Amino acid sequence: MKCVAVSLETLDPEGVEIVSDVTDSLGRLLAKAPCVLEPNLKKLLLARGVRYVYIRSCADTPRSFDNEALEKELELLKKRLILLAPHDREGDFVKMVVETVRGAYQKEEVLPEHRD
Amino acid sequence: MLNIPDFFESFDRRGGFPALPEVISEIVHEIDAERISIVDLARLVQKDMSFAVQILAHANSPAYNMPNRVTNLSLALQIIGLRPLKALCLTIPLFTRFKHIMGLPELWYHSRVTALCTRIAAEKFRQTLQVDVEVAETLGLIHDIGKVFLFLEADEFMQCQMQLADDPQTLPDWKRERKALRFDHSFIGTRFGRKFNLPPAMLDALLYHHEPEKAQYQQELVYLCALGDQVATMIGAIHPDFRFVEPQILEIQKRLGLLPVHFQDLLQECVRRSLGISLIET
Repeated sequence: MKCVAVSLETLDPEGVEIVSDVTDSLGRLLAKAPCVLEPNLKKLLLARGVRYVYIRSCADTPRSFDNEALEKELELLKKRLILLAPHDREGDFVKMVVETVRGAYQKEEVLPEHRD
Repeated sequence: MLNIPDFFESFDRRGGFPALPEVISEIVHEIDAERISIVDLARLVQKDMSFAVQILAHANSPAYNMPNRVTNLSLALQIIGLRPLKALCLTIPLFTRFKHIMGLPELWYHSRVTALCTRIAAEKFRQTLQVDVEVAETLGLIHDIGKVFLFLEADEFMQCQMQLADDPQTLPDWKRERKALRFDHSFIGTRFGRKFNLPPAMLDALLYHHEPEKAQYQQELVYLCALGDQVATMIGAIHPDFRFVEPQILEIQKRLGLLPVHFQDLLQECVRRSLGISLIET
C-alpha cells in the first residue's frame, strides 16, 4: 500500500478510515490503525501539532531520519525542563537529558520524512 | 469554590465512582480472592470481547518486549500478571467510557507511558531497591486516576487547569488543585484505591506520588512511581493540565541513588520502548 498524506486542517473527518498507523514527527504512535478519523481524533492530532500526517502501511519503506524534526522535539523538551533551571545551576542535568534523548532518537532512527 | 464535602456530596449523588462493567467487576473479585486459574480467568475475560481485545493489545505493548505477537488470551494474562490486570480493570473501562472528554485521552496516554517508565525503572534497579516490577507498573498506570473524577465532577475547573498547562509561571497541577479545592487528585485517587482494596503500600504511592518523602510504607516504590511520572513527562507524555517536569526529579534521582549513567540508561530505554505506545486507542 502506498503512503497517503492527509491534511488534517482541510480534511472532513466523518467516515475517513485510517488504514495504517499514524505517527508524529518523532515516530511516536498517535493512532493505531485501523480506526475512523472522528472529529475528536482530528482535534487531538491537531493539538499535538500534527498538520500533515502520512498514512502508511507497515510494509512501507523505512522512515528516513529528519534532523529538523529532532531539533524541534529537543526544543520542546528544553521547554518542558525549564522549571529545573534554578535548581540545576550549571545546567548539567538538562544537558545530560537533552543529549541522551537526542542519542536515543538517533539510535532508533525513527523520524519520519514528513513535518508537522 | 468547591470543597471536599460539596465535591463528594455531588459525587455520591451522581452514583459515586462509576460502577465497573459486570464482567470486569467479576474479574477484580476473582483476582482479589486469589483462587482462580489463568485458564478460568481467560474464559472470564473473554466474556467482554472489547476488554479482551484491549488486554491482548496491552500484552503486545512495548512494556513486555515480546518477540512474537501474542494472540492467546491465557498467555497474555500470564505475561501481564494479576496486579497490572487489576489496574487495567480499574482504568480501561473508565478511560474508554469517558474518552470523549477533552484531556482524558492525553491523561490515559500519560498513564500508560508512566506505567512503562516505572516498570523499566523497576526492572533496572530491582536488585538495589527491592521493588516488585508488577507493583511498580500497576502504580504507574493508576497514579493519576483521581484526575478522571476531577474531569467528571469539576469540569470547568479542569478546563481552566488545561488553559494554564503551558504557563511555566503557574503552580504544578496538584498544587493548583489544593489551592482551589483544598484537596488534590492524589487524595481522590487514594479513595478510589481504598474502594478496590489496594494494599497500603499502593495507597501510599497514590497519595504521595508528588511528595514521596511523606510515604510511610515502601518509600522506594513511591519514589519510583514519582520518577516514572516525571520521566514520562520528560519524553513527551505530558499531563493535559501541566506540561513541565518538576524540580523534584533532581531529588528523586538523589534519593534513589541514581548516577547520571543510570539515569541516561533509563531514559534511553524509556524513549525507545515508548515509541510503540499509541496516543489514541481505538
